[in-house]
Amino acid sequence: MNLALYSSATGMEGQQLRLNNIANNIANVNSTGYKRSKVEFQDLLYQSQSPKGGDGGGGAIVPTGIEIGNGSRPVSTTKIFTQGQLSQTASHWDVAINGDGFFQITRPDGSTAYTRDGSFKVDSNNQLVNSEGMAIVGFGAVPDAVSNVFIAPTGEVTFETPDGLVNGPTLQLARFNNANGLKSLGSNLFEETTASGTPTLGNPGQDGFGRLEQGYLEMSNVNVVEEMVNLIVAQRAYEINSKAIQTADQMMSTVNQLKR
Amino acid sequence: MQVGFYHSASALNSLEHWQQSVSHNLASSQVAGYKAQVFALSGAASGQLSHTNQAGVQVHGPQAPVAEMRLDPRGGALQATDAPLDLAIDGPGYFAIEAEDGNTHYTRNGQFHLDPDNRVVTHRGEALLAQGNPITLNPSGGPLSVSPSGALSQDGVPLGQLELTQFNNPAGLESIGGAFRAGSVIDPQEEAVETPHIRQGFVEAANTQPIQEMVQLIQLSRAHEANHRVMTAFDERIESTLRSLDPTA
Repeated sequence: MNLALYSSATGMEGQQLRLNNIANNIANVNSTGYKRSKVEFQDLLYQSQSPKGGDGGGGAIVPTGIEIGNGSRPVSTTKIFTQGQLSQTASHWDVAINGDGFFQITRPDGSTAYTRDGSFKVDSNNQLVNSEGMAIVGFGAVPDAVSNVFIAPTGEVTFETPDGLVNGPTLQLARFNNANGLKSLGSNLFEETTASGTPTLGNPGQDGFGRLEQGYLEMSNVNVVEEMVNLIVAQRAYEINSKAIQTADQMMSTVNQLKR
Repeated sequence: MQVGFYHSASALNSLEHWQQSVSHNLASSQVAGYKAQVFALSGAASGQLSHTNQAGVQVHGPQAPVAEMRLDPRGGALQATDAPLDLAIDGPGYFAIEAEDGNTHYTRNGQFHLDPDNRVVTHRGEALLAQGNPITLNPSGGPLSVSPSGALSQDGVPLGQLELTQFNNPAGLESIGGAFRAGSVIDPQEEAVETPHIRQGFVEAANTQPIQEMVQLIQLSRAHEANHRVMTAFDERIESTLRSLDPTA
């Protein structure tokens, strides 16, 4: 009886975690460059009362045996790095990556973070920064009196100034062997970890890196319909696990009432 | 001597203590920074009766064979409140606050307020300590800003550095209702947290897990019922024995 209680409790907690994850995905349906995540579960260890292949007496081998599991537990949350839809904003500093790669951002403490969010601005020091004021790696200063800027799909930036066209730096992208190993920092940023591997830098449009689209922003890749279906499944699984707990409770009550 | 009778009574006693722990956790599930109590019974001591041991000393059987009552160290969920004086710790560590008697107490509850002297205090008036000193805000200096590493500033003017304390031996902490103090019996082995993570505008929710508490409640109420049945069976047996041996009947 007790095993049923605890197994079902792990099931309910797993569904709760799944629900937390679904809620986070739905809350971020409008976050630029957001990648949805999913939770993966595994079953817990099994207790065997009669081992498979054990000695059945008289030289016979037990073919199937008895083993009871102990419930489930979450084992990983994976980010799904599929391309989000590109939404046109017509702002000349908004860039979206169409394909693989991350922009590189310098955080206030000096470390590098990576993001798919390309909504850039120019701050008062003529630095190209993201929405929170963090500078883009390797971009340098934007010249004064820039009236327009052109960003080619292969990353070359050209400024239009009163003196004519001025060539700017090239926007480089970073790519990882295991993008799922990146640590999410919030603020649409990711951090490199030992699981993700070191980044490979490159120009957009070459060696498998994605192309840049100026005037577009990449929307989140959350599929609201799929999240709703997962929500229904999680809720019903939660309910069914609670039914198992209630049944185990009633059976324990029956046992207690054997002796009147 | 009905030994089994007293075993059941002792079990009922310890189950009641367990239930108190469960209901305390559920009642505190909305308290910011609350750490759930984890209860464990001692198998060796449960059901033990008063006896005289080999040294001739009368040993009283423990009425409540509690093996341990420790705190669940897991962090609670962070809730965004956007109040500038609400701080939440992301990870290990406790805030240091100054109690009325001048001693340093520790808490995870990061809901702070300003007292009439513009000091940052808890709801009971205990001052938050930054490196041992209370924090006084400049009333016209702008809003307080707390960086994730604990650096305090008002509009760019630095005010101090918050330090978090963690304990290697949490059993040495004594709970005094809403906060902890270093116990005098066991040394909690305090040390500073090297890389604190403090979030301004967030409150840490209690880490009570209602599913676990309800499952424990089912467990202990059924165990209580079973022990009660055993005691009733003893009672009926004694009664029928007395009745059958009654010479006047």
